[in-house]
Amino acid sequence: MLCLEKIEKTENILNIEEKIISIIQENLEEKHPVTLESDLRNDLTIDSFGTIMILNSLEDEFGITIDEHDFKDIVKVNDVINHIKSKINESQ
Amino acid sequence: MKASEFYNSLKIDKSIAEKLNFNPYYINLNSGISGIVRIGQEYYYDLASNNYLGLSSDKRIIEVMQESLFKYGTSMCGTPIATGYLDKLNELEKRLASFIGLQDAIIFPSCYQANTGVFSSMASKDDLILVDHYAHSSLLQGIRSAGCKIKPFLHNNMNHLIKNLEKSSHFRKKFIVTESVFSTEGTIAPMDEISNICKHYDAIPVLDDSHGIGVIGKTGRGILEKQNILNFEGIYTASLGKALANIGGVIAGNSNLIDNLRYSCGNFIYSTAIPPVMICGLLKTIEILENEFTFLNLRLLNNKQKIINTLTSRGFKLHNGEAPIISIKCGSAENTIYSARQFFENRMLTTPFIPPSIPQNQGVLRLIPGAGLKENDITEIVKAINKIQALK
Ligand SMILES: Cc1ncc(COP(=O)(O)O)c(C=O)c1O
Repeated sequence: MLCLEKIEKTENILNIEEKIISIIQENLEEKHPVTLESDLRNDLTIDSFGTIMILNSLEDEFGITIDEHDFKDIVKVNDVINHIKSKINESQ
Repeated sequence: MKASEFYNSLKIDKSIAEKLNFNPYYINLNSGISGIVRIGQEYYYDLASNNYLGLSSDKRIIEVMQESLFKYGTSMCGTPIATGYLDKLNELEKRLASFIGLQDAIIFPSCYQANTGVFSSMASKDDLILVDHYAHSSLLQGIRSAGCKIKPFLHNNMNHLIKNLEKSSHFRKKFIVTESVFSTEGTIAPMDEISNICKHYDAIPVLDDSHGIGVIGKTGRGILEKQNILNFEGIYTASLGKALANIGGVIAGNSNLIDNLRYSCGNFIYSTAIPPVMICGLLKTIEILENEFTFLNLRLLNNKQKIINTLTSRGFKLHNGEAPIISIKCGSAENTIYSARQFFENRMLTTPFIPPSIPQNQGVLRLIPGAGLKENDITEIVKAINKIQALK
């Protein structure tokens, strides 16, 4: 039982990562490979309104609210994932 | 924070300009723009200004402006709500409204001011503004100041717009904001489709036609004419400082909207009205435009084609926008400034766009070969471009 729960949790975490990466991809003007290490501004050329676009999709997907200002220090895709995970945890 | 620290923090990074020993911004011109401009003791072809039709040096307009200066003086020294509302301003509003094909119009000192002012008069907390990702900075700033929910959509991507609208039925008012001609790339928005989407989803379109008015459409009336959009139910804005070779920004649309702005829009109410000399000049410009657009436009389009052919043969990669704007893809900010320098060294003034005006690594060098450039000018420009090698 315990073991199953653990597996489910790991699967969820993987799903969240995949979901976030696919949301970022869907909101890019030009196709770029998106990895955990991709830099939002320099690699994916995301500007401030591009960031708002991604935040809106993340809010819709995960039913959370994200403050644009909290996103100011976020550099990499991995930072987005960590931020969203902690938001989801907060809201649970 | 100490004052010295504060002022240090304001320092602009000019390292690229220093490295290339060339700063393309705030170049001092010591002439007007009539196809050719003078910088220092040298002459350059003007491929940088938005003087699409070459009207900035039209003698007939200048004469009217001279007369009006003697008649009305330099300024009304008042906001439109006070002493700034000259009868000629009222005439210009009516004339522009009918030129564009809408009920009424209001004229701001600039389109930047119009765009930053209009949204806070129209939208608030419970409303939604959907905006094209690449909309002009003035629109984005205006939208931010309205304090409502903002949803940008991918540039000219109607599927993405609709996807966003589908999730937005709970908002009270919805606005869809875009430009007609996107001035860095010369692409044209599918405004006809956006108008229909707006009708379907009960949204109000807001359209900035700054690079469309006097530039596109069979008789130069802009995007509404070009895409045959009848009974436009939205808010129309445009700069009068580009093809119309003057200054000011117009908002046109439903007469209730315009009257509302006259009494609610701080950017209009509390700012000195454009001077009579400019108003009279604009009235003359519209008259000329109505009579001569076909001829001027033909020259503009020919100029564009000849320069595009040359650039392509030199290996430059171009955005293929439909508007009379040539947009060279340059990549990094450094490559963009380097390209601007190459053109400058060959006596051509161009406009480089680098971040934050555009996304990282999508630098663009823009050329607008206005109708003020005659056939022999274009021949010289072609020769000059033939000396430049595109960056790999
Ligand atoms: C699309 C667009 N909107 C608005 C403006 C601002 O117009 P104005 O120069 O009249 O303030 C510009 C000018 O740069 C523009 O290109």
